[in-house]
Amino acid sequence: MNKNGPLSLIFSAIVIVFMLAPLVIVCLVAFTPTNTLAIPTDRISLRWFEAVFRHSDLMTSFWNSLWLGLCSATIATAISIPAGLALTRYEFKARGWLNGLFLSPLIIPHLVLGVALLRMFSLIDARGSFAWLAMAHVIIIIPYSLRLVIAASVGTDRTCEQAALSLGASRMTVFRRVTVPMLLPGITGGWLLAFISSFDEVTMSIFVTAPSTVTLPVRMYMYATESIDPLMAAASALMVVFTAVVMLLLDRIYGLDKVLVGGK
Amino acid sequence: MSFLSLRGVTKFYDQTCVVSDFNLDVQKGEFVSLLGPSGCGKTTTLQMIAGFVEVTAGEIRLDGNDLTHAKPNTRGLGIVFQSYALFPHMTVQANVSFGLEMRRVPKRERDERVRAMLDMVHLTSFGDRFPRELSGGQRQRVALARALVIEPPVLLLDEPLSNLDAKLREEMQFELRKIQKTLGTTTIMVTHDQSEAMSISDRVVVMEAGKITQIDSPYALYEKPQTAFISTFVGKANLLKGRVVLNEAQYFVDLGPVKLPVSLEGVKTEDHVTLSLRPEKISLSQTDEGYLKGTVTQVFFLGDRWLYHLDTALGELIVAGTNIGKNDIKEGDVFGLNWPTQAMQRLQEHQVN
Amino acid sequence: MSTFKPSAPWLLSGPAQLVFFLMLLVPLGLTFILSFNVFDHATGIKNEYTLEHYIHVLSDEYYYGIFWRTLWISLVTTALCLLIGAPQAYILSRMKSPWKSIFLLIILAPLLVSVVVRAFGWSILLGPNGLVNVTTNYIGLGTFKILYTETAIIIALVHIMMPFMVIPIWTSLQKLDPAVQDAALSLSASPLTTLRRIIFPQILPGMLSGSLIVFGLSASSFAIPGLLGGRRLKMAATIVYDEYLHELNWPLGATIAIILLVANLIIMLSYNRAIEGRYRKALG
Repeated sequence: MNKNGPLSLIFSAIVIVFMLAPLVIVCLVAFTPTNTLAIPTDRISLRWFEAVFRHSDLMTSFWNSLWLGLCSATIATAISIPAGLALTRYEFKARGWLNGLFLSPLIIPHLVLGVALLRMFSLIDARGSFAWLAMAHVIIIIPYSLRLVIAASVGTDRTCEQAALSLGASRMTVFRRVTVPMLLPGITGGWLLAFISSFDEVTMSIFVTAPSTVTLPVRMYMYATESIDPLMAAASALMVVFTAVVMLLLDRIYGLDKVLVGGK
Repeated sequence: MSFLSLRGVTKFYDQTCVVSDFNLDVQKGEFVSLLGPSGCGKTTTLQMIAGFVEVTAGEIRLDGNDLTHAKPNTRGLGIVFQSYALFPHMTVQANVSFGLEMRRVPKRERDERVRAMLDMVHLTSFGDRFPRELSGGQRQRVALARALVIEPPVLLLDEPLSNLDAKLREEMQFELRKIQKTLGTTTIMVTHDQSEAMSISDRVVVMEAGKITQIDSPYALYEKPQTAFISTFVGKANLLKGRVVLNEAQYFVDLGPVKLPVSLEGVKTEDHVTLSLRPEKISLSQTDEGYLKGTVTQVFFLGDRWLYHLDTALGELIVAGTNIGKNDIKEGDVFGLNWPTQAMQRLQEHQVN
Repeated sequence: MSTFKPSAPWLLSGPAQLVFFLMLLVPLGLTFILSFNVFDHATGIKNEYTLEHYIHVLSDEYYYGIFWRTLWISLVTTALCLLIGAPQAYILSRMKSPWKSIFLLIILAPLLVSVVVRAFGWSILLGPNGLVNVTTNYIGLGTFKILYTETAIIIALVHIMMPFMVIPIWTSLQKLDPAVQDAALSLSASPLTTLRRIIFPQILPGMLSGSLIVFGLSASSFAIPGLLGGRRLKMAATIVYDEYLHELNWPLGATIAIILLVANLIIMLSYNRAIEGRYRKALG
């Protein structure tokens, strides 16, 4: 009874193929020697990858995205650590409300956030400012790092801290040498998840970026709506590889399944 | 012919043998416990009877029918799981009547039988509650009701009381036995708690490393344990090692400092024997009476009795005495130790392999 | 650590509160106000207030058509995610490791790849010369126009949303006590009855949760209809974009955005609360 029959396995196989299909096709088409979106049949070519690296707009937006991701993830994580500790270690009336507020960007459509921030940026003349763009990303990615910090904090054995205190350590020492090391996988995992979320983000960014701060996904979106050629495929394939590297890191440090399912 | 019989039941997980050649005949209405430490195979055996674990070899028969490879949802046994396994999304009423629903018992009869069973476990007014709203003891009674309402030929209990605190556990033990006797249901219980097994079973099956080491009534098991392990697992015991000697046609055991007459069968001179001696069989008297002297090193008060550790020529001996209202024995006191020779039980030398 | 200093949690969460106030509450508030501003095509946003945008959006046929399309696409997407995702989660829960983790990862990992990349992949697959049409042609079914139809949008949405359906159902499944299923079997329930009466009711909250998330995300999706629907198939998010970036009628765009936001919040919060309340009593 606890085994999956052949029908179930075929079903699963179809689902797996469905989930991987667009990613695989994009990587295959990226190697085509032709000018059209076709799967390479007799030979493969790296010309489109070369084209990506020579495309100044794409490369600029890549560096924008990278730098933006690093900054916003770091800021988001830095804010999440004390906030997460506040939410998990103290009993206070507003706790539930604050928890809901801090996680609310998850249920607010990025579209709505995008236009809302656009309005505010236009009023304070912040369009084109990298700093404000970073803060916009921060608000979107904070829930990701916060969730992992909270999970890590809840999962730590508080009695370890009590033991350290009873053995004479000061509160600062306990924080530095007992608490932080126990939280570190959650903090680092949260940072990585926040980073990739920022790097991937497109909908809000379309509204909030200015020509000088265009991010890679936005550039690719604009390009894809105008012309469809293997350049996009190569750029996409590179993004898949980039994401895979981040996933590997995330798995090593925290455990990819834990991150995605949100357990423990 | 016995009601439930297991013959040569064996279970292998890859190369590891978890249960080996398990043979047991259970009579109708009997309450049998499988007792042993963790990992001895008792739960696996129960799961094989229930049908959740495949038997590698051997046969299980219930009332003459071969049950060995039957699917678990066809065996019709009543099972109380260690975690109770109540259906969390159903009320107590729905939980208990589930088995009857599966048997297509008409609603009126179902409701009556469920009501009668809830009465029996003293949960009459709890029908509309959800498991989450119940205490541990209440959940356990619901699990019991659910298993018994289907009037199963055999009731299987997997450590049913281990999640309860001590006082509740004791109460439930007697409740359980009372219900079982009233209904006359053949019952097999798995437990690692020897006092639990002893107090309510008709017979106890002691298991160690996948094998049965002794099957006996609780009294016989306690008074005549067959191995050193059983004698120390079931109750406390002093283990005395010695050599058999012959002196004027009477066998003695030479324990070193003292020689004691013994009435053992099948011994000959120079045999090495290990004897088990229960603490409550030893009496403390004047220093010049008794087989040897002992100095009290520790005193433990257990409410209804005392436990004394004494340093003797035979090593440390444990003596138990009923609390008759006197509190006069202290550390450092010296006594003479005495016990009846029949109280020394010979243990089998070989290890269980 | 305990509540020695009542100010401690406020200090610790202070930076976060500041960021949220500045970057979330203020912008949303401004947008809410904006939705009442008068807009003049010649002069732009004026400092007068009116309800006409709301009335316009909620009564004009043009918008009705788009809202209706958004609604039914989201419903179909949610239904498909349920029909595929729930059984898939169940099958996964019965797999042996390492397959269980591998398959789970394959289904969930695409979450970390940008929507743009995934949508683009589908536009390749569903195009007139894409793999799907090549295959159907090969087996004699001819070619179909899939790209730039609602079907393409739905397919891509199902792909994007699948992980959001699988995760809560998977979490529900993980919480099940396996002994409970054994108990049902021991009481003579067939495996099918066990699935129907024991497992299904317990994962219902997860299915509900997943459905709400998928529906909300689908309804406000922008990149997918943009890349797979073309210029003619608009959804709610698309017209917001149009108003903001083409028509420059920000108040109107803000109106639709606010409507979208409120709809999302209502769906997520209240319905969830009502059903969860019923289940919390039983399942806790």
